[in-house]
Amino acid sequence: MQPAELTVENAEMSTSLGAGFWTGWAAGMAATLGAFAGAIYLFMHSGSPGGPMVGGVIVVAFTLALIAIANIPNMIRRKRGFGERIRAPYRRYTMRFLPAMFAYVFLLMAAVSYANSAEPTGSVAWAVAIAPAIPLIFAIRAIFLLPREEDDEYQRDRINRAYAWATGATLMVCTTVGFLDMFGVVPHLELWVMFPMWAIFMGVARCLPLGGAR
Amino acid sequence: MKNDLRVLRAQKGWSQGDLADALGVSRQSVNALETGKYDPSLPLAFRIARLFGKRVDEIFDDELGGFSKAAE
Repeated sequence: MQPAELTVENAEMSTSLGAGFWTGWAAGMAATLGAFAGAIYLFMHSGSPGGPMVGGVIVVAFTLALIAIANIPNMIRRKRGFGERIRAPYRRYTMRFLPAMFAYVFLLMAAVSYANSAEPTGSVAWAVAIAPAIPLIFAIRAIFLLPREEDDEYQRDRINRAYAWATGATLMVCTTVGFLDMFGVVPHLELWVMFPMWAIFMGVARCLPLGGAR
Repeated sequence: MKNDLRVLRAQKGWSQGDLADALGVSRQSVNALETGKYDPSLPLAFRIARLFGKRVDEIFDDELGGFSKAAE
């Protein structure tokens, strides 16, 4: 190994935050997730005090807290001069995706609450039913604008591979479950689960070594 | 595809971040290139070659007669 290479590698090693930091960070994440689940459980099992908007506020507040905690390692690295800047395509994606998802949470809660109390019919029922889907369409638009706007070819390749993998996995599950459902051997699967299912598969795919080399 | 990127970068005394900035890509891209997890597009390969003042086939080896042959 050449001496110059050793120097460069050592400089990169110093960006490590240490096992103690990561233990604390993981504990913080787990505690926040636990508090999130606990708050939702308490909210739903105590007659939803304050109505559906309070539920929406709980979801939005904990989501923002989780995002803040997830960003702590990179914030510290940035302060030490090693961190990666949040690149413009991701900033734009976040600014599109998060408001859409928050609007979705509030509209879903409001729609369910209104439908349960007012039992609307006709065009009002249509409007109430479609309301939560509209912000999701904007969230999906944000997801598919990301690879289009990503100017780093490696990152774009990773995103596209993850999207393709998630799409394939979702199609496989939905096709299989669809036939099982048709023959009445499994409970009916609602169509709206496809997007969260795709999003979960996409999250899994981003962690997989899908490879870009031949 | 094999490449000499890590060695060339080390010879310049650059970190992965320095090389990423010089190429206008992310640090993860440089890491993926160096570890052979990602093969660059032709335009990026030419940018890399130009930066180090070499030919593309002097840096990247498709193992069918790349830089090892060019060095002869």
